Amino acid sequence: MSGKSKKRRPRSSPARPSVTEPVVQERAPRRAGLFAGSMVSAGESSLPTLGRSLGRGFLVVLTQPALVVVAVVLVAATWLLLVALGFEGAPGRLSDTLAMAPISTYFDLGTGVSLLGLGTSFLLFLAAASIVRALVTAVLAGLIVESIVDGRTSRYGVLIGLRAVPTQLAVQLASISFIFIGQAALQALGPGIGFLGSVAALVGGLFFTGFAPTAAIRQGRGVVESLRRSGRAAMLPGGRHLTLCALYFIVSLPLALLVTPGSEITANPSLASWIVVFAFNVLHLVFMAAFAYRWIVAEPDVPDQPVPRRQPARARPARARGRR
Amino acid sequence: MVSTIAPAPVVAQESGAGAWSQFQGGSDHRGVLADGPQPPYRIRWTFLAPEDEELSGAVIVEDVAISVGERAVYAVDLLSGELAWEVPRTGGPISTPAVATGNRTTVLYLEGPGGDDATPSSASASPTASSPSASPTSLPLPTDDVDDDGSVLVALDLADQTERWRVALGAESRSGVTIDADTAYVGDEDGIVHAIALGDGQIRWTADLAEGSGAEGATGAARCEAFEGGAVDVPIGVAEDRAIVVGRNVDGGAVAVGALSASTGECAWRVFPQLGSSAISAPAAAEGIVVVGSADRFVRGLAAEDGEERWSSLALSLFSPFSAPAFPPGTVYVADLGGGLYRVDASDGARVWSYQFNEVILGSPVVSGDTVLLGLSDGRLVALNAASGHLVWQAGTGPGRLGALALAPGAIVAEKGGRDAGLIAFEHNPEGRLVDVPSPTELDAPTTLSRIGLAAVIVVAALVVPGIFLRRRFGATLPELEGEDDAGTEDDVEDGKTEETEQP
Repeated sequence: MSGKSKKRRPRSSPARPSVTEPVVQERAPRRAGLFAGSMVSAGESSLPTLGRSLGRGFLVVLTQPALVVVAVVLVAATWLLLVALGFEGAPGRLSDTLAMAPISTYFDLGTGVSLLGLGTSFLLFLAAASIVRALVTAVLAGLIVESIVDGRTSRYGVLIGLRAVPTQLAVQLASISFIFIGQAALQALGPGIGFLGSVAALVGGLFFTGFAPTAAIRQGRGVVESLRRSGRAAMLPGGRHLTLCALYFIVSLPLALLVTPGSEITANPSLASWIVVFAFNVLHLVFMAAFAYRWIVAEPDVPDQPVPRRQPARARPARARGRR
Repeated sequence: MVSTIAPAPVVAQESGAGAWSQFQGGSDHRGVLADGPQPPYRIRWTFLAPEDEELSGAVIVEDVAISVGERAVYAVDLLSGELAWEVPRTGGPISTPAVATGNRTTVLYLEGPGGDDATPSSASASPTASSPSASPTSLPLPTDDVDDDGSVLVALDLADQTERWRVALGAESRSGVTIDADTAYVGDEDGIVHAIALGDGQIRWTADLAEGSGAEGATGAARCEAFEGGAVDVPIGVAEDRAIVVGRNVDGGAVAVGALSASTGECAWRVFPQLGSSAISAPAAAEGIVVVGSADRFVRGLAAEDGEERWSSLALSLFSPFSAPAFPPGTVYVADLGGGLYRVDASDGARVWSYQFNEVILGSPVVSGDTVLLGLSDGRLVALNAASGHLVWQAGTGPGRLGALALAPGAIVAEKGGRDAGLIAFEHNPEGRLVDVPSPTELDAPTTLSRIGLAAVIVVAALVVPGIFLRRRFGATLPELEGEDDAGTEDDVEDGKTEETEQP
């Protein structure tokens, strides 16, 4: 790819474990639950602060021209391919081409329905799109991890990214489930609470699976274990990870729809549309890098096993009650 | 379900052949006039509806355009746009009237229920001073007990605007009137289809969608599943002795498309093309096929004989019940709600071309010679070449939708909505200019590729140049990752520190 670093750092892989791996056993696992992030001060957390995570995300992506160019090329190629397939839609939806799952799954579902309607061909399209997206996202994750760790992007990043393809594919499938759960909530609970439920399903999906590709790349574990560790990392206290996921959701859906010009159906988006679309897709890589950075920093503290919930103090039975 | 076969003598009538006599020109809703005016066009006249009123789509017969308003039925001279006559109306939903030509040309329209301030609906129509020969009808009224809660089908003699008969339907009706041969067909909100003799207003038969059969003692009802809670508020199509009925259950989100025998009301078939939505187009029927567009974005061609799906074609949006496909020989033109107009092959549903207007469409396309015409919600009238699918002419008419179009050999009469609601007539403009604009959904490769290239240069430059600066300042790598154990503490990125953190 590009960018030669003067000082090559040891790459993190199962064959060549990260220098931080020994720390894992030295730290006591902590678990405080889904919403405990806001209860614990940032200084006590294994996860970096939001500002630091996003700042590193920007730094990682912007200092690697290859990542920016890849984002631009992928988005343009996607549009041309879709138009060649007969897609007719608003170019505004391109803003989420390289989004993280499950938001990217919305892009795939919407594109498939628009192109083919609901039917067998739609399911085939969804299967093909999930595979392609898993491949592309995993490779991008590999490049980002290499960029974070080694300060460069190269073929090596592509190769380590391929490790995450099965995990990313599982994330894609889980995302489809999250979306259907969200839609079911919308149908069952109505437009008010149901809408919140559908949003919660999406944010929740991102919350639990956001670290999975990086975990798979860094630790080379299987699909299930990578997903589990992603969930455990998300539950680490004090990281305000839920806030980051909600922020990403707002940036990816409402803000992208609001800001991106091109709500009209056309095959020839305007220059302004393309600029905004490209910028948003680079922003997706920034968030992806922020998630990867968070995982890499917190990796030593991610427990190998589920942390049991602390049992609430029970009143001692008969004997305790007998003391008066 | 009630069935009444009229024993009364029937005055010979025929549907308005050669005129735009009803919704989409005829009982089959084909929406075609072979010798209609060709683009470019200019406005011939504008007829404004009374304040706060809107008008229905027009029908054209004997050089007048007839439209239904809230408080009157209006006939407008096709050449001058002057009001030829008007007949008071008791209110109720506005729907397209129909005209039956023959030895006595008759105008049929629906009125009521008009609410508390409605005039007594059992009375004969009382033409205004503009009517040259106003007089109460001398014909006996077949239905004297008009129900105030329901609509009434009124028949007027076109020559003198006298009322020939009126029939109470028992429920509100929005479907408009369809005339085929000597029978008028209307549907109501209770899901009842009424077939009424044109000659004397006798009810020939009624059919209830909520029941599995179309008429008393009907056979073959096993193929007609009952459709509960459905209203027939979409114009009924009639072709080849089939009355094509679309039922909509708005509350339950369901639709049914079915065929009744036009002569007996017996149910021939009924299908349910979609679930979860009541959005569906009005039907068009010809060449043994019934065409409807549904909420799942498919335009379907159903066999008129048994309702079996022959083909389907995907559109980009759902369809309005105010819109019907146009069906010239061998071809179907259909407009979706989102602004797409599609030409599909009537034999297999293959899309020939599409044009995207990016504007809501509530009206139906019509075909005037080799030109397809369509009114848009932003007030534009657009004309496309039927062969190429390219826009050849368009003009705005101001704010407010342009809805249903009616064609005559020398004019197009469009229903105009909004503040200046009324009718607008267009005619050919020999001094006008034609254009040739492809659909925005056709890829303009040079333009798009150049935009992509320029945008890519701008974005990459805008992001990479600061990136180079950042790289120089902070270095290529993130030093704190080596032996990271201070995660979550105050950031050192802003300071540009590159020191290694302590190893545990």
